[in-house]
Amino acid sequence: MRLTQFILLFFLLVLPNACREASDITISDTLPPIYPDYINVTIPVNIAPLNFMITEAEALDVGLTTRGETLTLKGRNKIRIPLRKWRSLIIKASENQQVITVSVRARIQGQWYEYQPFSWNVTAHAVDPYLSYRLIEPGYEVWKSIQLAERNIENFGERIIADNHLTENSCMNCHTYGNQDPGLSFFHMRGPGGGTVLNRNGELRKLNIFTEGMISPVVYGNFHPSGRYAVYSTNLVLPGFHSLKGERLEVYDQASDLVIVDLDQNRIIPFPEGFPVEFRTFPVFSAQGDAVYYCNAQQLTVPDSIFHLRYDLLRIGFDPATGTWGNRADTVVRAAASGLSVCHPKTSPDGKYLMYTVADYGTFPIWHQETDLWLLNLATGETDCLADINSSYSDTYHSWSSDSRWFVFASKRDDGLYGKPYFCYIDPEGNVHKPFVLPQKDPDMYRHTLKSYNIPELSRGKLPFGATDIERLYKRVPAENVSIKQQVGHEQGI
Amino acid sequence: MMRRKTLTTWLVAGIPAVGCFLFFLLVYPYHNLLKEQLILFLHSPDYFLSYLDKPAWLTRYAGDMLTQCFIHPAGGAAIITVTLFIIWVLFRQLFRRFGTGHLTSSLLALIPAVTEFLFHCGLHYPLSSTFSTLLALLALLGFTRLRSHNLYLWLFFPAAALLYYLAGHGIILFTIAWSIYGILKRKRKWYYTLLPALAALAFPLLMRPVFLLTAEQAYRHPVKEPLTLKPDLTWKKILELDYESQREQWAKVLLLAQRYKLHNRIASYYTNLALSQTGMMGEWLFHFYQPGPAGLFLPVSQLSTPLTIAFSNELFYRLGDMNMAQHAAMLGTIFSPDHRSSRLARRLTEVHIAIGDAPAAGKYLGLLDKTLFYRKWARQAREQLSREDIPLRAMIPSMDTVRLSDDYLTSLKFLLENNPDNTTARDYLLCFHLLNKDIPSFREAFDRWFDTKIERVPGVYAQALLVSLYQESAPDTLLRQYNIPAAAVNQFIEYTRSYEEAGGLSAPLHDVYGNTFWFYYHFAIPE
Repeated sequence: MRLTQFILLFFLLVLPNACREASDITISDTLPPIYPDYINVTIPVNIAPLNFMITEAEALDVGLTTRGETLTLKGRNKIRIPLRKWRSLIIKASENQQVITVSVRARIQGQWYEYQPFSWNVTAHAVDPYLSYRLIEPGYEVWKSIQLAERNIENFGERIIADNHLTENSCMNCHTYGNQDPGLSFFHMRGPGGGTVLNRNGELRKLNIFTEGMISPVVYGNFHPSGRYAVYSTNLVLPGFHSLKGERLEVYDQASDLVIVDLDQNRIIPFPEGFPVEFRTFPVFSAQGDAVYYCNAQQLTVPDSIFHLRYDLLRIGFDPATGTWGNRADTVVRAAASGLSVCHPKTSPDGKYLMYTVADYGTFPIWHQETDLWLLNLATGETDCLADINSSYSDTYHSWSSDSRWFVFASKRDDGLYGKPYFCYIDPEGNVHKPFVLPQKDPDMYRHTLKSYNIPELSRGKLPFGATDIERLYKRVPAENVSIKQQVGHEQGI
Repeated sequence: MMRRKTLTTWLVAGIPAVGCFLFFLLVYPYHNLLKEQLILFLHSPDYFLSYLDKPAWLTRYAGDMLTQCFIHPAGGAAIITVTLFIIWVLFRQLFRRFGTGHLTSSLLALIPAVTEFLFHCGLHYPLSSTFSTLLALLALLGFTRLRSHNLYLWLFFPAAALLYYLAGHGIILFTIAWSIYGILKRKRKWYYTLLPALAALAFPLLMRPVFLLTAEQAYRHPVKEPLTLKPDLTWKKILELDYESQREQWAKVLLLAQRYKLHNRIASYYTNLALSQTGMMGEWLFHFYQPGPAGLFLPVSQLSTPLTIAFSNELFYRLGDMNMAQHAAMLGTIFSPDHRSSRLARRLTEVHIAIGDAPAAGKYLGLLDKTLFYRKWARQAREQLSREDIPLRAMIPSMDTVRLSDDYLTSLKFLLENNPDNTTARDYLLCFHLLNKDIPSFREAFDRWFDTKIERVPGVYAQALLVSLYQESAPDTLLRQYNIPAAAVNQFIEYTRSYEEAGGLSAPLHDVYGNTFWFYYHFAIPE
């Protein structure tokens, strides 16, 4: 009797609901308002699940379909895709060169809506599986909590590789790889036990790269492809504050120059003499290692003339065999004449592209809302201002993947304040696809965090050190000193 | 007899409990109010999970959840009182287990409860720390109830490890009391308890790399800052000024400043802010203690304290210097105990609403939406996003310049150049020069920004003008142009005569002229 009553009750309650759902759905002609914006993006085959949410939704019903196979997911207002099922789905889509079609139904204020489906275009070009970044609140001048983190982007695992609470709250600069190799990287620690931390296959060294004749300890840097050299800027940096609403911080150089460091011999190779005294910063080696690209500006009185301070992109030769600079610098991008300023050049590992940041003026684009990424094809000399991927907020601090098919950059496109890592695909034809933000287990995470993801850098593998290794290095290992190489001539000038 | 014993026992705790409640409600509420403002407790699963990566997650979560109720003085007073009462009850129970008598246990248990009370009078003591002690006591009492000696021994280390993860420093109390109880009451040989006790005490050190803590942090957690063990009435008064300033009760701030007569930079900062907001800066500046220009601004630099950074945005916001207000509020957030602050999230929202930056305001509103007590505020603030008539907007500069964060002079001049009606900026600029005793700069700024034809010259400014005119031996015609009242001129003549008679001593002049610029000019030594 009870069973009969239960069955009756079940049909009375459930069936009408099911019928009502089917008939009451409103077909929307818009795409679903999902956060983060993963609509019609191109994704690598090894990316973590693209969990997303619709803030206003009371219930979600999502289907991920590829090649006839559908993964159905439900959630209140968030969709979390199980990792194994995602992996199987995405590999299938990649193998069959098919997209994943995402159909979304959402119940909002009691009403079900069915939105227009969108797609995830899966490419077999995997992105380097690890990403390092600095987690820091977007304050400036003073700091409290800084962490360097490493994220496995194939899942949601994040590991802290350096924490300034363990190093007497000293400041830490961002982590930089050489050749996207986890066995070759550096970052700077400031403070009494600080220095430049050099990782070579897990062997950690601490270098005091500051000696007589240098403007300051080294700041922005990049490895030579051989790993033997690193090129750095030395900068006397001052922060200033804008008064105009929307403009915030301006960080500018009072003086800046370049040095190359021979990491085998702990030797500084200063920038050649005979060049005018100018601001030189953001150096990177060319993919072949035979030249250094850097940003160069005429020296002005700052901050008074800050709005006129504009950097061009220059190139100077370098001979790794003798460790000597060239004696002539060529202008690669004449930006200042166009009323623009170039920052952060980065050459792609295949040597085909050079990506850089363009701002209206100055040398600190992270707080310039107008900052965009531009792409220079080094083979053709053509420049793409990447209108489809840039936003109305700062897009900068980019890094290439080892196969040159992907780059990651920090964008403040959500709120103008907090930078997040976005991935962007360049196909073999040179087309740049819509970027997507680093997926998180909880898609709401970016809205809760008060940390910026500073200078994201891709790597082919996991770093061979952790935060306690850095603590030991800071507290117990004395820094190695460097000496300056006497100038004996230049590449072509001996 | 039994009834009297019970009554005595409860009186031992009841009277201090009532005293504790009244103390935090009526005498000392501002520390708790500030503690609430320096956290931002979110009701979301993601936020809950963020607690799990450090020890003492349970007590930190519970402590922060209840700290948000400190928003009202009665909430803070009640929660602390009840928590301390439970601490007393549990300690009393523990002492009873050790075999001490009813009254002795009750009195002995007062010692840790009073110690906790004194800790709570400090600015940096978190409620979670008391909860850690409380959880350790509960675990201990549970162990004392175990009948099996083997269980008492073998369960200890897993319990200690778990306790560390849940309650941080509670492991220390737990381990020590467990060892003593084991030796005294369970008749264990001391060396039987030594090994597990040492293992438990070493546990935080062993787990330190996992939780990314220094050795000191590993044993203190969840306590982060140095502790104080007494009420600080000076801070209480400063925080009262801060609280009333937030409520824009400027008259009350001035009354309190007059009553407290604090010789403190932060107190002067709030007093001067209240003077400017009531339009009395030019009249009453020297009726209050002035440490020099340092009393006008609170610096945001590496030498600042976390609290001065948290407070420093108040003036920038009212000056219309929104970028500096944002900078100060962001740094205040960073230096809050958990790098989040409800007070500064609201200020950052207000700043971004004022500059019309809806996406940035939305970031902070999204956080406030997830709080228990600021949801409504966030809803109301969201309505402001679409409004055009935000009063502060007129004060925000429409031109751009770049200045250093401590270049107040450039900032004030720039604010005035952009909006000559910004009387707050004008008062601060004039008083900045006065407090620097820089008469030429004051005169130049006064001549540029003050129209004596339509405004009466306030007393302090008149005094400074007289000094300036006297120094340049200005003719009477010029004096008349400034519309300085005759009484002020006569008082200046009288002061000059008295000053010469006093032969460089301040004491004879203090009673009559202590509140004048002239007295400050001659005798004050700015900090």
